[in-house]
Amino acid sequence: MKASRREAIVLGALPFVAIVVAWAVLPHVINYPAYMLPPISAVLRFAWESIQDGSLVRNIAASLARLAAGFAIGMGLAIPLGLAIAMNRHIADLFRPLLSFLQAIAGIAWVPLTIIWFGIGNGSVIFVIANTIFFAALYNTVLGVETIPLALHRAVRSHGGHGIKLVTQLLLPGALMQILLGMRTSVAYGWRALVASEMIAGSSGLGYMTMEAVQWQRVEVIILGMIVIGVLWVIMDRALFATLERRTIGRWGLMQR
Amino acid sequence: MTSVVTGDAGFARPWRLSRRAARTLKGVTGIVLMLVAWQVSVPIIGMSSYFYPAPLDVWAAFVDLVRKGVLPIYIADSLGRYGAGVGIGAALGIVFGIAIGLSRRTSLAFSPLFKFLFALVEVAWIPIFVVWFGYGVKTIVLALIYVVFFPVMYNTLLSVRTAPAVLVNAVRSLGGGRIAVMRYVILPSALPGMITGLRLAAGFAFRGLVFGEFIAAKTGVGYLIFEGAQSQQTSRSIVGMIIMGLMWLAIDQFYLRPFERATVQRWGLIVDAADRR
Amino acid sequence: MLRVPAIATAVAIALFALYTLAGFIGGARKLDAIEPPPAARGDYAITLAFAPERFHQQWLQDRGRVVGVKGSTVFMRDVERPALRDIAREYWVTAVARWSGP
Repeated sequence: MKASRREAIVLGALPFVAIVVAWAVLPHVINYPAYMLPPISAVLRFAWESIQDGSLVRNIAASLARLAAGFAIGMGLAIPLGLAIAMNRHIADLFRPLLSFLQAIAGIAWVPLTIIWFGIGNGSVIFVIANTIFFAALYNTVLGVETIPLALHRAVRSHGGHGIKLVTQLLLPGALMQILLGMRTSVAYGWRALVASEMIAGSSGLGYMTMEAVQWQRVEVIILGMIVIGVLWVIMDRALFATLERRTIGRWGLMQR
Repeated sequence: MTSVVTGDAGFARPWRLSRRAARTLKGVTGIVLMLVAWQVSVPIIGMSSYFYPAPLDVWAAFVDLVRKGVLPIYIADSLGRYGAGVGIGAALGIVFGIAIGLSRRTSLAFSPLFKFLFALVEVAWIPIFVVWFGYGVKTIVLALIYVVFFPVMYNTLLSVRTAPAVLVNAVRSLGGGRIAVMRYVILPSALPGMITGLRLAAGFAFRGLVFGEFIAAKTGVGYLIFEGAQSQQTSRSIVGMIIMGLMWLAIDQFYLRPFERATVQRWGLIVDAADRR
Repeated sequence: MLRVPAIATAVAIALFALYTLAGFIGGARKLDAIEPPPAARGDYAITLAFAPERFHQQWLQDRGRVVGVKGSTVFMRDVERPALRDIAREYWVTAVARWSGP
């Protein structure tokens, strides 16, 4: 077992090593303008500088803050609205096609509109993120309520639960699984919407930093931006997914469908 | 899918609409209600059509765009870019996925790299593509190829890795050579992964297309959304958004879902019941 | 199960074919109306059904040299026959006439 584990790690590292070597060697093999692919040292140097003067941390903080705000607004509006819609089967049927259509255009497509409404800056970016997460969560909430087993529904009703009690005792817990399951992909889209809208309509943040560097043709900034954006996403995904998995399988594991 | 919450009788009642027709009708009513509410809210909100256009403004813009031949060309251009990007990306993804997945060593070697590259969010590649390839269609299609390649390749790879060894041995013991193994075991096993990856990739690619057209295009549905807002013709922007939604619904309903149904229905049982390595 | 994509694709191709065919027929009609018949390269006045927007000027510029716009008419020089055919086939072009130059 140990030998094969070591083999996996060594093999897995090989392509990365190959890329680093190729990157270092490329300028000597092919002739291309220096700005197109700066040496790794330039990327590292910029990383060091931007950490030193705090600009990298500021940008990361700005982006994450917007993601959090958009997430809170999106989920906060979507879950109550979704539960309200799903409580009545006819209303749910009424809105489902509309909701799936709106989910198809959620997020990035709204950026030009938000520039008209909010101008460049936080308002636009947060709106786009909230929009993305709102429609995804709304759809998942309605779907979640719909897949509650009929037996449970009847059981709660026969015990006199209706109205607000129905919501808290049955609809919300029942839909929670679907909501949490859908949360991972909706935050994935939300993160992409954040980066995209910062590139066009932002005045700070990781997306803004990466896109602005195109004007100055500072590719080392772009590369660092890409890596930070990717790493942050992996961290969030692991943190989110790991905790979700623990809570859902741990708590609701017995409720396997 | 019928809601189980209230429970319907299973038989059809001839004096009412079938359940499916009733649901479709309700859905259409929902859309109509929303349009009416939107139209009514315009004088209430009382802003110019630059900020808050009415459905009638949007309809007028739509008619205008069709009359002037702009919309058909924009839609055709966008579809062309999307088709090229998804087609090439998926083809490359499938080929590489199978090729790499066949050998345990190569899968182990490339998996971490691909996970890393996949984590590099696809919209983050647009700036560097613009620096390398400039503004224009080439950049957009290349970005789409990238976006589609990794999910398809990675999922195909995973699927091929879980091809049941039992079946491979069975084919071999019946005298089958490499081609037979490929045809009867590897390819069918790869199919669900391919389709899952394709479905994921198609969604990312569609959003990537629209975003790429914001930044690097002169025609196309995404460009319409962007330019409508820029030229203060907000109604045109909304036309673009609606067309975008309809395009995605068409792609999903007519292509992605049927592909998924075909593979899951045909191969679902086999994948579940077989041994896994 | 692959019936739906096949039908959708077939319908899309059929619609596209019809659209192109209509374009060909309309284009032929507009080209026939040019007196005298178009040479390999020439100057033309392209009349649209509306005042051309930037999109149309760009589109026409890809097919010849746009030298001026007046109302709904775009004046072009050095338009080659294949390009002229393409222009005539578009449904938003109402007429193509010879232009005697600036």
